[in-house]
Amino acid sequence: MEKAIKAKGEGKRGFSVVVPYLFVAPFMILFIVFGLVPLVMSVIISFTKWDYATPMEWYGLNNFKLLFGLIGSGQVASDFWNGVLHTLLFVVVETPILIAVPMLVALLVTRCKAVRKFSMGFFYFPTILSITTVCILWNFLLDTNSGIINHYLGVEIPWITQMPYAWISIFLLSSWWGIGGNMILYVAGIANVPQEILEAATLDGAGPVTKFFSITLPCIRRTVFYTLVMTTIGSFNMLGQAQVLTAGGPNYGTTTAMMVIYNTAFGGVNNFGRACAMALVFGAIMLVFTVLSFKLQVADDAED
Amino acid sequence: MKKLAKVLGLMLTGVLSLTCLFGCQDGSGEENPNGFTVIRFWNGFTGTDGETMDKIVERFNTEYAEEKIMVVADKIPWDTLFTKLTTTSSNLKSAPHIVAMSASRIAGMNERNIFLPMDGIEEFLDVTAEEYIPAAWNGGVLDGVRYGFPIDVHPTAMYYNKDLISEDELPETWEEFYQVCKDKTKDGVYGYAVPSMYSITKDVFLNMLYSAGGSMFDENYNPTFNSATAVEKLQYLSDLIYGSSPVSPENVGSGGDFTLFTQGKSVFYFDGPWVINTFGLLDNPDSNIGVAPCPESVGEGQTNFAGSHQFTLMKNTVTTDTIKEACYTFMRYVNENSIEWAKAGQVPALKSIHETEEYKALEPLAAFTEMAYTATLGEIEYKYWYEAYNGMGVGVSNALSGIYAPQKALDTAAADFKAWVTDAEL
Repeated sequence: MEKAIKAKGEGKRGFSVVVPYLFVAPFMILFIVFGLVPLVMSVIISFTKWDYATPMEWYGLNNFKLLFGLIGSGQVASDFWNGVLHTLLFVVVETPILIAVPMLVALLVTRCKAVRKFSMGFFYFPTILSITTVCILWNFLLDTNSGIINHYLGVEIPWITQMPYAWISIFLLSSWWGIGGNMILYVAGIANVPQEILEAATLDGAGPVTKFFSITLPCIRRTVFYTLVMTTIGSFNMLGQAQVLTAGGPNYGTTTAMMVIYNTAFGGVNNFGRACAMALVFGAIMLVFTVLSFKLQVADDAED
Repeated sequence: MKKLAKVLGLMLTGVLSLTCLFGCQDGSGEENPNGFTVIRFWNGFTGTDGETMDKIVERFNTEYAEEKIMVVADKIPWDTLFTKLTTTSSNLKSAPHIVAMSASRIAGMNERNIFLPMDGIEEFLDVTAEEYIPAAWNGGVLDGVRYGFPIDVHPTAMYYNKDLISEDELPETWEEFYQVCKDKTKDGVYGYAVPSMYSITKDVFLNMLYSAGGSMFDENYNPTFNSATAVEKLQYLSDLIYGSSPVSPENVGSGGDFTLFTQGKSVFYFDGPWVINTFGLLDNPDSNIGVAPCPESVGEGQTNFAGSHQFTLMKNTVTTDTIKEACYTFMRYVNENSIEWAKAGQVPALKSIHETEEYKALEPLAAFTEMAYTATLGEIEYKYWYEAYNGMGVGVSNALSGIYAPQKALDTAAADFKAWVTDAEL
């Protein structure tokens, strides 16, 4: 009898041990299939010459040597690093815009309660559109000779066909498209700031700027860190804007790293080995930025 | 209650896990119902041409039900199609049997060893070269082996606004073209809005280049798109924008030429035959838009640059004579029923279609048909032709955007292409 009770107890304990693993199983399966396996595969493929259809050839470090201009004509290295530089430009300019402007919009939206729902819908609307739709729409708006924007401004700015306007167009479009997503997160964050602290600060004579920097911002800092990391990663992955709006031009001036990688893998010649090597080097650069962001957060948490 | 919640939680977890596992499996494999030979046919015809191809497939399936052949068409945008083709060609359950593609992609895709040579197709279908437009017939052959069977030819022709120019004034040479544009450029109207982004302009440039006896490559596939003739032609196009008497606005972006033309602000517009449906020319004979062949592209000793759609067979899936013959039968059926294809804005490759009254009634296609007979597809047997074409396009764009002078723009594009080939061959 005792044995039977003990066995039942052990069975329950065994079951309890398994349950947590079962709950994390869906994530783990997805992560292994779509995250870990492709990562390991891309490391292996980066040491090969492979076009998917014909057998894989061992290629050693040649793909990486090409990327650093140690072999070949230097064209691959030049294309890739130009793409990386353009991407960094996009990250450095666009990320602060997509952090600061949505914050400002969120503050305005939460203050003007009468138009809150309308404003949120207005600013969030572009986010639900696909990047292809957004680019086609802006292509019409920004057309030099028949676009609405030049027409109303009474100018002939070559928004898409000349530098630096092509970049300005990409920044404008990306900001219009991306503000809504971060704004919603900030609105949610601001709504959770304790009202009593804000009221106490008001009684103590604090103005709106002081209240924002001393109360609201510290209270929503985790949301800010989250948007910072996600926006930085999103900016590094910029592809659609350059692909559809400017086709990487003029004169390859808006070609991003993702575009170079995509074209290497899926352009006319499918050079998956080279594309994987590019993706790994580019991934390492992204990792540096992400780790720096996390370090900032950890340092900030430690100060508390 | 707690136990029930736990059991439900576990069940949900299990279902989610299984969904993940089975969701990853390929479920697109076609069965073989009632002994039918099922042919999977991929194409990138996503506009009016796609709807028309679907109708042709539907009719084929009805007419060949007794022969137990069934074609399943899958429309995939061109870029995605090539990506998908690369990654699924070895998956027998979902890979296609027939793929329609531009003749210019065949040589490059053939490097991946995915095509089945169409041995014996001429005998099986009882067709000869004389029955087809030469450019289309030859466009599917590499080193004497047929990998592509022709569907159509699509040259670039000259659309014009009848309110701004009469038929008598239409230019026949590029010199006349400039003069006409110069005369018509006034009061906010341009002769021709030259698009500077990577677009149809490179086809207009190639039209001029081949008409003048030039080419993209020499016999050893060294780039010649920066030859003296090529530079002269690009200079001509550049002068339309930046010359002493410009006939085009600057910085016409992708689609900007179309907008200005439809707004009645430019006399000419260059594009392929599919645009006749965008303009509704087949439904509206009184339209103010007409189509004429490009200058210097038709007639004795003339040529022009065109593209051609071809059927190709995949060697991993076309594994038996029964499947191969079913594929051949479908290809010929499309050829013979391509009057519908013509209405979708294409010039069928089969000449006999052009002799029918129904085809002759499609007046807007006449200019394209005339051009198709003197067309060349260029040196598309070269495996890197497609990359060269795109690289050359950047050169053309750089000259027309005023970034480089035509000579420097084409020299840079040729040098970049050579460097690209060096790295691709490593």
